[in-house]
Amino acid sequence: MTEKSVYEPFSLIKLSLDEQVYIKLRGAREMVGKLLGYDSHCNMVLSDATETIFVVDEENSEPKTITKKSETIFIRGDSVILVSNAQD
Amino acid sequence: MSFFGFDNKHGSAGDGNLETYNFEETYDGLGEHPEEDEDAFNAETFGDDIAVGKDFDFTGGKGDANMPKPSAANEQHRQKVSYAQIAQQSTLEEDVLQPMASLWGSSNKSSEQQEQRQEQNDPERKVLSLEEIETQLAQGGGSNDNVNANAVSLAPQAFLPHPPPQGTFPNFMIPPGLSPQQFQQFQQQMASAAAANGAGHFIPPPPFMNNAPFPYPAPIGMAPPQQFPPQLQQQQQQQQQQQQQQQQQHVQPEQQQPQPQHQQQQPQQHQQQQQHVSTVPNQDQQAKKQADLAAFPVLGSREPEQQHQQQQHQPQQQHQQSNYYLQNKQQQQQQFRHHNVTNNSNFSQQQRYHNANNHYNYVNPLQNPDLTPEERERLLKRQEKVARITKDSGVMNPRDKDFVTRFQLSQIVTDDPYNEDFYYQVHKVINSQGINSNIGGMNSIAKNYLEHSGHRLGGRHKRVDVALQRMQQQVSRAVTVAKERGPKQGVLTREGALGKVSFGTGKQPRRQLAIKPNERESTPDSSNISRSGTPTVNEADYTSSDIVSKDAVSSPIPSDIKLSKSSRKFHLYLIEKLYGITLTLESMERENLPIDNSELWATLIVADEENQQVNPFVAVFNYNKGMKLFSRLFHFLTYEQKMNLITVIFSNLQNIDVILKGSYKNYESSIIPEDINKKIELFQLTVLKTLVLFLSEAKFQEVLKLLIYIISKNNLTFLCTTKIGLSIITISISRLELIKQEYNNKLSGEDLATWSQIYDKLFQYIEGRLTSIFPPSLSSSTSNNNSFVESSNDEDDSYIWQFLASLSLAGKLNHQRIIVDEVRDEIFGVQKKAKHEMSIGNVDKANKYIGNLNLFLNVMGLKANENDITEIK
Repeated sequence: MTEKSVYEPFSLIKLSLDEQVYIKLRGAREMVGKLLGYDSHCNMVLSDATETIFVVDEENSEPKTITKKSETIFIRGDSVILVSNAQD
Repeated sequence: MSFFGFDNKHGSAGDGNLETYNFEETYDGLGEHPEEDEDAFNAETFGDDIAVGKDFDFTGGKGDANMPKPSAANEQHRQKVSYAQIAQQSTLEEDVLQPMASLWGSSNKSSEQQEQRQEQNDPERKVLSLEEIETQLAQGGGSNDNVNANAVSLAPQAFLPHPPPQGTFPNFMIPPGLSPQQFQQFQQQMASAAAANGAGHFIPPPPFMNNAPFPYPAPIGMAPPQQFPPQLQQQQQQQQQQQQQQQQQHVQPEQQQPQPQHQQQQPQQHQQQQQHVSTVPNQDQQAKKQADLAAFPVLGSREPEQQHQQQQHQPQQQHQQSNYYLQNKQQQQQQFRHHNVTNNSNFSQQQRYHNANNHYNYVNPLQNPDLTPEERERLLKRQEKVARITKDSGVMNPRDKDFVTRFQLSQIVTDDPYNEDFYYQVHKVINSQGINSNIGGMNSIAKNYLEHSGHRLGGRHKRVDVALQRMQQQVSRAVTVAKERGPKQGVLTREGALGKVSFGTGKQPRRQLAIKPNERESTPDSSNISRSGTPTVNEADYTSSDIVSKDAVSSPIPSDIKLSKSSRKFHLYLIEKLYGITLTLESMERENLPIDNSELWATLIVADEENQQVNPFVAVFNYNKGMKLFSRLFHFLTYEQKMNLITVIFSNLQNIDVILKGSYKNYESSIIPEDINKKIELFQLTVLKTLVLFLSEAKFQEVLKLLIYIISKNNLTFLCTTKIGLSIITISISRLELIKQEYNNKLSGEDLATWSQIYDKLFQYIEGRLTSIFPPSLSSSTSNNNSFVESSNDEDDSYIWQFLASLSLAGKLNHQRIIVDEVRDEIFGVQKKAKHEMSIGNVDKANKYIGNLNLFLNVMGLKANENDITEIK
């Protein structure tokens, strides 16, 4: 499978509509959930999302993770770093 | 001093010399330019000695509240007033009870109120308060101490300070340096002079002369008729301008009030003037009258409502009324009543005029002795509320407001509502069933805008129509502007410029990358069907959305991307393309355009002829969105296309995800995972429902043909272990049997023979494996005594009994016997379960089990309950 030319970046995201996506966010966060919608600012709406926050405690220097679940969540586009298929 | 100059002229006002003060010239257009500080005529008009700093605004910045209700006579001028003003006005007018209260300055409100209360019983206090007022009235003159006791006594209740009103008598005011006393004397002179020559046109009514001058409309009324329009206009302008100059707002009521009379009441004015003249002699008797003044509070207490009414219109002139009032007391009371009742008859207009100038016996609502503390509280609250509302009023002029409105509207208005405003359109359709169906687009936009922008619709005076009309004009203008602006490209290329300027709009944010669709794609091959303008799920995201889809029909993805037809990405592309097409078709359908589904079909049937492991279309059902899509696109197909498509589906049944993974045999635990179950449920709700609908109208041969496909192309044994597979077979069989029983005569023997042949074949496949259609979780036969209760709690086994029912319905007696033999254990199991449920009081569940079982047994004329099976009689 080779891609010879550049296509609209968003058409890749579009393929993931209604599918499980993995979104990497600024502030050492990740989000996995079903993509309900997005827009050209990369704002995203996920359902049944699981957010993972990576926290490094300065005293322990031991990385911890915090997970939060949300039924529906809006992600503001300016914090999105990467969008990918959750199954990949 | 301008005052004297003016007055001389005014003495001969009857000669028509009022043109000298034609406001058409002096104030033309001023209403549109708020910088009136630099208006050279302001000083002349309003007096340059009016000290702004003296807290002269007794209205507390809400002089608008005094604006009288616009009468029919000045209705025509409303057209010049912006809708916003009207809205504002109507808002203010709601507080009928409160305007007078607002006349009191906010600074010393409380102390004054106290004063007022005491004043009822303490005349001395009145004198004091009047002094203060006089002080302010004559501020420039520094004549605080010279207040004429006579004047004071004339106005026992008149503690209402008011600046010299200029509305109709722009220059008729206390000149600076002239004490009220002096001024009064002057006026008296003038009045007696006027009275002396009886027929004179300008006759200031003597009672008015006692104190401060105030506008008396008669002189204007006396002016030659052709002057009226300019006069009225002038007032209009002044009104606008004064809205921006809050310090002078309290003049307004006087300006507006007389207007109707100018136009309609000339004869009456004459009469009234005569009355006024007749009162002149009484002026000399003022001292005597003082004794009677105690009667005033009585009036106030007797007819508080009337007073309120008066107060709304005419707060200012109480100081002058007293003796005149006493003379005409009876008449006045009558007038008050009429005034309350109506305001558009000639008579009442006359009354109003009369009241406005002579008879208002102003009592501050807060002072009214009848007020309970609660009422007082309420009035205060209202007062504060109005102050809050009108605090910033007048900051924007009508032009500003129009601009903002137009700007906002131009963002709302669109030529293509279904693409740019899809959700609202759908919302509208859902919510507007039957309502407002006759209201056109513009109207509804205007209405909605007004509703959401804080304008009061349907206020006390129902100015909705005006506002709405105004708004509609705005909308249509905005549409024109939006159209003229043309489509927004997001990139501006100026001629001769080296670069491009890219900019963003609300609908199209600025792009970091401007990607050109490459040439080949933008010019579709002759074999291609262009999809330009196709709305996609997220159309707003990119205008060139058709890059993805503007390619050979044979492939839903760009031809230079090589994707395996069985790859996940290909399936996703396929779904997205189908969605795009479906959305286009749906939008065409909404707009009643002819529907061309050739592209949809071409995309659907893609690679049909290829020998793929899994037909790409069937793979669409592997995705939830694919299933949801199916029911939407299905109805765009022609009957033949539907048939073809279903043929493809039925031939590939066992490749469909929900069937492939939907068999309990796939899982060691024989329990289908939760996520698969959810998919199965979704499939039932979407695809299966659509199929059932189609099959229920299909012809006998067609269903037969489909059944043959199912039997020949699939592993029937496997299919029967799945819920979906079994359901589809059930549907086909029962449809065939239904047609057979209903239209037996019309079916050819050949068809019937084929059907019985197929049935035999089907039965052969299933015979001996019938128990396998019961998933262990639902099976009742294998389970030991009580464990089944847990395992089969929520699952619905009706589809199994439905299948058995249709199988036995189509079969002959020997078929039925075989079936019953095979599932006998299950039947008894269900009975046992039902009995168990019944014993623990779960009647509903027991009935459900029995009901499902009876689906099957009833076909054979049998009926079960939890204990035994009987024949149906």
